[in-house]
Amino acid sequence: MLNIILIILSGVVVGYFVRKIPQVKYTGTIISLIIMLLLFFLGVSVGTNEQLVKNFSSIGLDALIITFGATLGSVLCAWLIYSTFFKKP
Amino acid sequence: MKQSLIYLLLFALGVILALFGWIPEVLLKDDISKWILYGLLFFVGIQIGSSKNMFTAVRRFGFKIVLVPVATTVGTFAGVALVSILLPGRSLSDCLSVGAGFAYYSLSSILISEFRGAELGTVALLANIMREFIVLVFTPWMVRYFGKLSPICAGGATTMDTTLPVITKYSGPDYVVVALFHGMIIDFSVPLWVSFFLTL
Repeated sequence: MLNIILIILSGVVVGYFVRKIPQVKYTGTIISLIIMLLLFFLGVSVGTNEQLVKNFSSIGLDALIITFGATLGSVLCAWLIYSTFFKKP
Repeated sequence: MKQSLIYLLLFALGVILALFGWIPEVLLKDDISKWILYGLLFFVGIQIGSSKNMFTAVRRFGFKIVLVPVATTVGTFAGVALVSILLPGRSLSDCLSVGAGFAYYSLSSILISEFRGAELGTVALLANIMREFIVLVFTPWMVRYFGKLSPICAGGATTMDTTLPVITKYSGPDYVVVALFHGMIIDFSVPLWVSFFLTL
């Protein structure tokens, strides 16, 4: 976990100093390309794992349940702060 | 939306090629993807460090704007903790790490599969894609019943890019600043929360 934080923070520091350099706008594109590569590899490790392929529908159901909780919880909290602090009387 | 489709297609292509056994052995080594992941995190840092000043958003809406990412985080974790009762096969911290993706499915699924394996990584990929999809489809309905902040909190890390157009349309242009500020904060918190829950 410390590795991850240190790597991101060093990126933030570098990013702050190079923010005026025009090429920095390509960062988003580089990120998308790396993500494409890594998602392809994630697909490969799913496809080579028989157990995973067999249980794909139950994995999908678990994902749906977690997302339902996450989305509903944040929508309700949003409603609470909206009606308390943001909505004009 | 187009980019999400490309991501999903590449994932599916990986699955299909592997199912047919068309992947050379060299590509199956784990340590390569770990180094690529570290490179990715470095670039995510650069993007955050070089992004335009987010204090302009705070100045315009006042300090209460900070409450929006807090609501997203608290609501997400509370909701996930509650539904984790329905998933006896998964630990609370695993469920929370999936929830902590905040719809940033690419980064969260990759981090999780690196540290917990492809199974939970796939749960994270699907769960967080669904979250983005829900916001893209249900925003008009959410705004009507739960107010203008609801698609922002539901959208998590995507409110600065993929879900911004739909939020602008239904919450109104006044809330664009809120969505951008919120997206940046949540975006930055995803790798921190995910790795935090994975070390529990």
